[in-house]
Parts: sequence; C-alpha cells; structure tokens
Amino acid sequence: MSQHPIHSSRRSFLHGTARTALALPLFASAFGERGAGAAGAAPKRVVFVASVLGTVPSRFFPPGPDGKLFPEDKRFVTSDYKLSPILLPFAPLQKEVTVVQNISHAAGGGGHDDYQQLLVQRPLVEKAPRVGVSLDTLIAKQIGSQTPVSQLNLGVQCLGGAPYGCLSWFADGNKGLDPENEPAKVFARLFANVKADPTELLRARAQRKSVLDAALGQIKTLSARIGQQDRDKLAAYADSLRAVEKQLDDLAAATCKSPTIADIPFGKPDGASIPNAPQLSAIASTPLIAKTQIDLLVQAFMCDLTRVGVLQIGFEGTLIPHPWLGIKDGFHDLSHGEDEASHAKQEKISHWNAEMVAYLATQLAAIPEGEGTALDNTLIVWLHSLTLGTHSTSSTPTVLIGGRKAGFAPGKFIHEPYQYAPNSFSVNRNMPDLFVAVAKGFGVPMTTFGEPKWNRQPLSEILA
Amino acid sequence: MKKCKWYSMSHTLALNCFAPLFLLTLGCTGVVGQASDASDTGSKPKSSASGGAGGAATSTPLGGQDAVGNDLTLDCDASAYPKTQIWKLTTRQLINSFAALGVPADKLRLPFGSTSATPFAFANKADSLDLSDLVFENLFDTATANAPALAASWRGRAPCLAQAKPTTQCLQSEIRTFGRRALRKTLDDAAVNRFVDLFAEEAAAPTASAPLEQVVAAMLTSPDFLFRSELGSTDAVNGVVTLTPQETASALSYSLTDGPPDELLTKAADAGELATAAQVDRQVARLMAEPTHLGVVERFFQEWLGYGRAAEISKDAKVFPRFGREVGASMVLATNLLVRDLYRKDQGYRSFMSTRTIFTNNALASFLGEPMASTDEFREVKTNQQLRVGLLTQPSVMTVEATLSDSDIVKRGRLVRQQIFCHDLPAPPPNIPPLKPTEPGVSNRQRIQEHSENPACRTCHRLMDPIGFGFENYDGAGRFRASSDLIQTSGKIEFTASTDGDFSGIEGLTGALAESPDTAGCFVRQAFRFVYGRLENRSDGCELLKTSRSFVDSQPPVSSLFRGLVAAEHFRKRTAVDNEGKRL
Repeated sequence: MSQHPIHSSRRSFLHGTARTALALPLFASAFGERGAGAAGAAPKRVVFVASVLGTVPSRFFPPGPDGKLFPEDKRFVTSDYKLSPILLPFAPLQKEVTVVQNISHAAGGGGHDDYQQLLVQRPLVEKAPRVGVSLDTLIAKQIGSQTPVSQLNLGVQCLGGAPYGCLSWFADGNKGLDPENEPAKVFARLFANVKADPTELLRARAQRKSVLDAALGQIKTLSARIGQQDRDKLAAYADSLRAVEKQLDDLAAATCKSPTIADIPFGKPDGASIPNAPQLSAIASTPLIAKTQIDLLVQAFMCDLTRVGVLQIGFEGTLIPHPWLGIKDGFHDLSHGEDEASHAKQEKISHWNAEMVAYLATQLAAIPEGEGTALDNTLIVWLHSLTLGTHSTSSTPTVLIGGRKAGFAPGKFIHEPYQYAPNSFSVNRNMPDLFVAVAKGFGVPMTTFGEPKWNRQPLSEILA
Repeated sequence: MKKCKWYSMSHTLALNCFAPLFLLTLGCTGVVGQASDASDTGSKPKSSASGGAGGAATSTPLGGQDAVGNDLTLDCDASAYPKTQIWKLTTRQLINSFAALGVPADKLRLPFGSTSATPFAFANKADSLDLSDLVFENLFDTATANAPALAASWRGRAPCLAQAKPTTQCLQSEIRTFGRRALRKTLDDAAVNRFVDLFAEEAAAPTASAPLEQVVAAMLTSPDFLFRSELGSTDAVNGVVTLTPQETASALSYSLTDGPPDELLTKAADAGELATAAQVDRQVARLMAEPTHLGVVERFFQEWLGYGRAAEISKDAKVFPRFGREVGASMVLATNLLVRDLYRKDQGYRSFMSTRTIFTNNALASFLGEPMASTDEFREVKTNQQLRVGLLTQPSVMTVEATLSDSDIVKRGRLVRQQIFCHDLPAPPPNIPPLKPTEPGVSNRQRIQEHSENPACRTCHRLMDPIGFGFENYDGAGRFRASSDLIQTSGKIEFTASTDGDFSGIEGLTGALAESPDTAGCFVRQAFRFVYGRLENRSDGCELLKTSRSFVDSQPPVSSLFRGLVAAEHFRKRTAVDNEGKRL
C-alpha cells in the first residue's frame, strides 16, 4: 500500500475507530485528496444502486404495530419507524436512512426490459427507438463536469449491455453507458496513470492523441457519405474517443494517492493473473467483487475523480445462483417461486443486497469530511426495477441513505397510499416524483421527469 | 387499412398483412384491466374473410414504423432496395476480425458489445444498442495493446519498414497493403497519407518513438475496422447503388461465416470477379461449405428458438436433483448437433419441424430416461415413438420454456406464437396477481384456467395457452412424460391465416406447424431478419414475396433459403441516401 505521511492521522483514525468489522474495506487505502478539491467545500455526490428481481415486500418495508405492513390507504411520514428484517444491516445508520413505500417504477410493462428504463422513466416501446435521458447523467452534467470521470458505472456480475444491462442513457437513441464489471479494469482506468513519470506521461498522451485524431479523421471522411442515423452512430463513436482522451489526460493529472494494483484481488488489468487470486469469473467471488467495486468507488470519491456513481448489482433477469448464501437456484427462476422456501431464499438475497448498500454507506460514514462525514455529502439512492419476481413494479423497494449536508433530510419512513387501478401509474406516486426531488437537491431544476403523465407530486419530503 | 399489393396475386402465401388488425381487434394490449373483450364472440377477424384464403398473420404492422423509423407498409416495388448503411460488427465478428490479423482471443479486451442475450433477438442486429463508451474504450485498448506485436510482424514481412528511416514510397505502399487487409478495403490517397503523416509525426518524436505501432493502433481504432460499410459505389443510377466488390465480399463473408473475407474472396473482389450473379453465387456456395458457416447456422437456430439458455439456467433441485449446468450444456450441444446435421444434409423446413432424429449420449439419455445411446460420444438416434418430434420438442427448448419445477404452458405457447408464427405479443402487463401455487392433484392446465375465464387475461392468453397445451408431455426439464388425467395434450390453434384447428398431442401440434404455410412464411422472415440484421420493411416486399413463395411452395432445403437470400441482388443493391437520410 502506498504510504503518505500527510494523511497518516486520518488513516489511523480510520483504523482506530470507525472501521468496524462490517465496514472494513478490502484494501486499507490511504484516502488521499485531490490537490485542489480538498481546500474548498466538500463536493456533493450521488450514487444510484440498482438491485434486480425484486424482494419480499413483507420483509422489506417497515412493519406496523401488528408486525404486518401498514394498510395501503395510509399516507404518513415519520422518523419513528422500525427497520424490517431485510433492512437490518442499516441499523447503525438508521438516522441516515429513508425508506419510501408505495412509489413505483412506472416504466413497467412488467418485463425485465424495463430495467433499462429505471433511471429514465419513459415507456419502452417494442421495436421503436428507445427514448429518454437518465437521471444520473443529468446530475452528472451538473455536478460531474469538473471531475476527470463524469460518472463511474460499476457492475457486479452485470454481464450485459442493452437491454438488461444499461441504466445510464445520455440521449434518445443508442448512446448508453455499460457498467464495468472488472475491478482491475476500474482500477486501471482510474489510477493506472496517476503518478507516472511526467516525461513518459507527456509522450503517452501525445501518442494517444495522434491515434485518436487519425481515427477522428477517418470518422469525418466517412460521415460525409452516410445518412443521419448512421452519422449519429459515428458521432457517438467520436464522442467516446474524445471521452477516452480527456479522461486519460485528466486522470493522469490527478495528484491523488491511489491504491496499488496489489490491492485488487482479481488479477491485473492486462489480464495477467495473480497467483492464488480469487477467480473473477467464479460466482462465489461475487461478494468480493461487490466490495472491491464499492471500495474503488469510495476511493474515487475521496480523490474527487468523480462525483456520480452507478452500481448495478446483477442484471435484470440474471440467472446466477447465490452459493455464498447457500442458495443454488438461479436467481431469475427462484424469483418466480411463490412458496415459503422460495420466499426465504429471496429474503436472504435481498438482505445480502442491503448489506452491500450498507457497506457503501458505512464506509462513507467513516470518513470525516468538512463538519461531518462523506456520507453527509453523498446521497445513496437504492432502487429496484421489480417489486417481486412475478413482474410487479408497483411499490418498488426504494431506500435513500445520507446526503444530510447535500440538501436532503434523511431518517424517515415515507408511506404513500396505494390505490389499485388499471391505470395505477396515473393514480399513485411514481419514481419521477422521487427523481424531480433528487434532481432539485443537486441543483437540476425540473417540474417533471420522464413521462409527464407519471408525475404526480414531487417527493419533496426527502429534501431538507 | 391498406392492402398489400401482392395480396390478390397469391393466396397460399403466408407473407401477409393483417395480423395487427386482429391483434387490435382482439384487444391484446398487454394492459390488464383495459382489455376489451368485445370481440370475444368467436368470430374470426375479418381480414381472412375479406381476403380470401390465407390472409392473416404477420408480425409486421401495416403502416407504422419499425425500430429505425422505417415505414413498415410492405409493397412489392421492384425498384426498392434497402438503404445504404454502416453496420457495427458483432462481438464474434470483431473477435474473428482480430484473429484474421493474428491477434488471438486471449489478447482482446472484451466486451466489444452487448453480452447479454436479448431473448429471441439475433445478435447481429444492425441497430443494436451497444454503442457505449465502455465498448469503445475496450476497442481502443485492444488496438493499442496489440499494436507492438502486429507492427513487429509487419516489419518482418516488409524489409523496407525495418530500415531506420523508411521512404515515403515504402510507407505508402505498405500502408496500402496492410490497410487493405485490416480495413477490408482499398484506402484512398487521403487515407494513406493520413497514416503516412501519423508515421512521420511520431518518428520525429524525441523519445520512445513507435511510429509503425501508432499506425497500427490508428487503423484498428478507425471506423473502417469497427463498421461494415454498405454505402455502395458513388455513381447512383436512379437513386440505386451497388455495393462495391469489396463491400460485397465483406457482406457475404460476415453474413455467412461471421468473419472477414478470406484470401480467395479478397482476391475475387479485387479482380472484379464479384460482379455477376453467377460469380457471387459461386463464392456464396464456397463460403457455405466452410466449417465456420455451420457456426453461423447454429447461431441462427439458437437465437431463433432461444434454446442456448438451457446451459445457463437452474432448476428446483427437489424436482430435478440431477439437472445441472452439465446436463443443460449437453442439451444445447445435442440440439446444435441436430441442426448442423439437418442443415448439412440439405433438409427442408418440414424436416426441421418434424424430425424423429435426435442426437444424444449416455449421460443425456440417462438424465432424460430415454433409450440409451450406449456411447459416451454424442451420436444420431432415430426415435420411433412420439418421444421427440421436431426441433420444438428438443430437451433444450422444453427446458428453457419451463418454470423452475414444471412445464410452462404460457411460455411454450408464446414461443410458437412469436417465433414460429411471427406474431408479436406485448410484454406481460405489470402487477399481475400470481397464479395459485402448484398443488398435488391439480394439473398445470387447471392452474392456468383463469386465463381462459377472466376476460382481461383471455384476450392475450388465448393466443398462447391453447398451443402450449400441446407440449404437456414434456416436463420442466424436457423429459417425456405419458399422458394421464393430469397431463392432457389436446389444444387449439386460433387466429392464424391457415393453420387454425384443434389438435391432439404433440404429433398433432408439430404436424400442423410443420405443414403450415404460415409458419414456413414466418421462417423465411426469420431467416431474412437474421441475414439482414433488422426487421423487414417496405423496401423488402418484393424480395420477401419472391423468397417466400418458392420456399413455401416447393420446400427446398433450408440451406438453399440462406443461399438465395445472400446471393440475391437485393442483398447487394442499396437505395442511396443523402446526408439527411433522404433518397438520392
């Protein structure tokens, strides 16, 4: 691990007190700060976490006095609520946790395809071009443009592109951002160029620039001969090339202390193996992948390399089993199971997802920042694309953590009434209501988000 | 509603235009509670009555737009051709393209595109949604990481490059040669000079200069490598262009082998020997004899019927204790062997749908409880009973179209409706209350009884469930089970052009499907979508009409369907579009 005397006091603080057994990260990194960012006010950040294939609602939402869910016609907001069994990993942080019951992922046609619309909230029309811009990219435009990486999309066994893989969409049409599943590649992208020899760095940048310029030249020639739709494809290609260029340059210029490659447990970015390392491809490695990805995200935040994170735990419809929980059934098929035994397994999986989100929150809460902690400056938005495996999207499980000094007022249970109706999305509150409020918190004003008819009333209860 | 122009010309044709009408009439919208059951009077949609024999059922709406905004009205307009386009290579095509240059698969940084399988979508969709930063980063990294090795072997081939200061002449000629191979086209002077300049600029750098590596990296990062160009020559005649010989070579090669043109094809293109229909057909026949072609065929069947997932799914261990990844993978292999075998033997569509031949080995046969193959290697076995009848009854297909513990009548019916009849169905609506759990003594069929009683369910489920009943002899892991009080296999096909009727059991169902002109016509559409990487649109009317007619009527080998589609003039001509996407 790299040593850095300036931060030794922080490091010992972290080791000495706040890093409980649950929160102990995989690599004990010295959280460095980016030179310029450290002096000013702490930056606001947001993380969207998406879990798939629903949960067991009766074990997810806070129970009423009789141990059952609150009646569906009640509307109330309270800071006095009991955590459900699935959400128990949040117990030490309950003051920072807001649970929202009975708002829905309205894009739901009920299929797994709607996963890609989770942060977009526009209907997905089969065989038509997809439309909509996702909330994360809109916020990244506002708060992420000053950082080298405008947003960091990480996957945990999320081996998909569209339609089940992508959550982040930059514009109508084809331009999405896939999550990176391999921690070593995340590491390479973020940290490999930090601290390189300045002369070498200059050469490497010049070389990269000429390669990219040549490719851009070819794109220009080709663009002159093709129709608009194909030109959009090439424009997306060119954007990506420029993004690669900018990112590599900005990252190289960062002065942050980084973890070393030895800290990434899955092998080197060039594909070389580390003896006795866990296998990235092994399903049993999943919890380790998740924690490593979260560690990298926290590290990137602390270096101010990015301010927007998207963490996708599995992809919608995933078939992986959960052997580390003693569950051999493939998740998708299991999620359709409606007997007691299936429910017990679904609960375990949902609980594990909660543990991972709590791991992220706990790490941030352990890092002092300004007058508070990094969690106070970071809003975590934990979403699900389905409520149950049986393709229900009403009352999708929704939890917000942190953000106390970023304009949010966590620590509540918000119970919305839910009315069953054929057009339920036009009657009840939906994700767009949450998203308008989240966007407002990050200084992105809007009156509606996504599909206008799915907007009821912004969920301003979450704002300070 | 417009009428297809050829409609009156043909009555046995399964390629027809009225399905959307009946689907709308039916009220199958994918929204529970809003479906009207007004049409549920047992009356058939008017379309076939008004159109004579054979007039319903296609997946493509008349009018409206497809995924890329094309008007979908199908006309037989003999002067209509597909639009010019560029077409991103699939992951497999990119892997093969790198391999052809000498970059092995383990030196690639994947993924190069979407790795998640969209159910029932062909991987080579031209408008696929996998243009993400991550993909581009991976390509860029792959290009730069492999540039040194490629540059070294290039220098080994070209002594003039190994000199301290290669001459401009040497550079121009070498870049032309390497570019022809890597980018599958002859570079024009501007492009050659761009790479020569890049070389010179890098050569002038004070330290760590690697000019040839730079050229290689730039070529492999360029759009000419990543995309197939189908822009045609620049001299449009009446707005129509023909693909250049080099574009034709790529089109043939990527379509038939998922890889770049080989040496013979490259030579043929450069020698002007891809100009006539006969010359093209000769190359098509040659490529179809390549082993790589069978891989493409396998991909077609696997993506068409979605059976590849059998290797990935799990089952309820209490019900199927012996089912696991290995069993699932051998099911997929067994089906792959079967489709390869039938294809290679020039079998027709009917044969694929009704063959009694299976491939199996001891382990799989033992799992399925079928007569032993008595060999550990997979081999061909003829079944004399109703055990396996055609591709749809393959264990891999039945295992995928099932729940954790049992058959899934709805999914099996949907497979037939969507993939065999080409009738699009809406996604399941949100917030469906779950079915009652399985109980002993209650058949699967009884369990979904509500679908036929509740009008909100019935409008869509009548398109699926009565067909799915036909597969009840196959359990949730594809094993055959005999009919009984709980396993009843009679069913009904409704709302098709000419396949409607009651059937009894799997032989009745597969027999009806195998003989149906509707499903044969749909198969042509599926093959068309696969070859063209997109849904059919109005410019394809004539081509589909012509292909369907001969395929449905004379039932030629499936291989000749592919041969015909790829060798067709329609495959090589394009409607030129200008910068605004308008026809020139």
